[in-house]
Amino acid sequence: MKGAILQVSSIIFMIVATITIFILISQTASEEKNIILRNDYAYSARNDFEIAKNSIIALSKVDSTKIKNLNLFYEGNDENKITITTEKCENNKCNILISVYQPIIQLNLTQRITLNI
Amino acid sequence: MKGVTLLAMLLALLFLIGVTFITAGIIIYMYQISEIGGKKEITLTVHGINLPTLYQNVINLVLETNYTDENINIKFSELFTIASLQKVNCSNENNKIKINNKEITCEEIGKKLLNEINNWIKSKYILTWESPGGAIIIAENNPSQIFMKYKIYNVKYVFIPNIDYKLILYVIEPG
Repeated sequence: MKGAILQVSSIIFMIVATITIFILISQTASEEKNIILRNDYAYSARNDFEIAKNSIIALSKVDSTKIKNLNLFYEGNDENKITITTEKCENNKCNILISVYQPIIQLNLTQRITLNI
Repeated sequence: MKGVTLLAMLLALLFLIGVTFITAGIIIYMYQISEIGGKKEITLTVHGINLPTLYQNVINLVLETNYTDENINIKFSELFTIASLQKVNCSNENNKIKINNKEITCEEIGKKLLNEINNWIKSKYILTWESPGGAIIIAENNPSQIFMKYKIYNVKYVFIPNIDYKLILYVIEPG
């Protein structure tokens, strides 16, 4: 009977060990997923920032007077919230503030660009 | 040895074999082992996660290239900005965008854009021009591959100041 108790104890021990291994592996995977997700959302915000910037530069080349009074808000990719505001225009130059807010990772990217009009 | 002990040992053996297979399966699924120049590299791969940031880069790069013909040489981003300012909806392939007294049809733009995007994307994709008048496909490729499971990524490029005018790139990948 002692042998049987030993074997049953071994099985219980193995079950506990297996569950522990599974938990450790899934934790590693979920941590890795979070890092990848955070990186992806940060890249997405950065890319949307570049898209907005290129779009404003294109507008300034096509019709520079249109950049004098920009006050726009729209949703970009992956829930990025983009705000574009013309702060001031003087001496044939305009300061434009571009902000991208990524709500999922609460990242805020802001940059001023100066364009000739 | 009693029958109960033998049964317990057998169960333990079967259990061990099962656990070994499952663990090996998980490890093979999660880790990619590759040998490059005699050097073994092990990388952890997490399946099923990635945002279409690559395609944001593609659409950004493509729109920074130039549309050229015998009369016109202009960046695609500027061309579409003009289209948005002129409120061209491209609902008809023959709708035209006027540039320096020249006219370009949506179809011509679509063809040139297709060549540019094909340099970057090998999967099937569709590029649509969205306007308040509706959406229209202006470029698409037709690769022969058919996927049993697939994912559709979409990225958009919004034109300023008329933010209702945008390009949306849909890419179909195996899922």
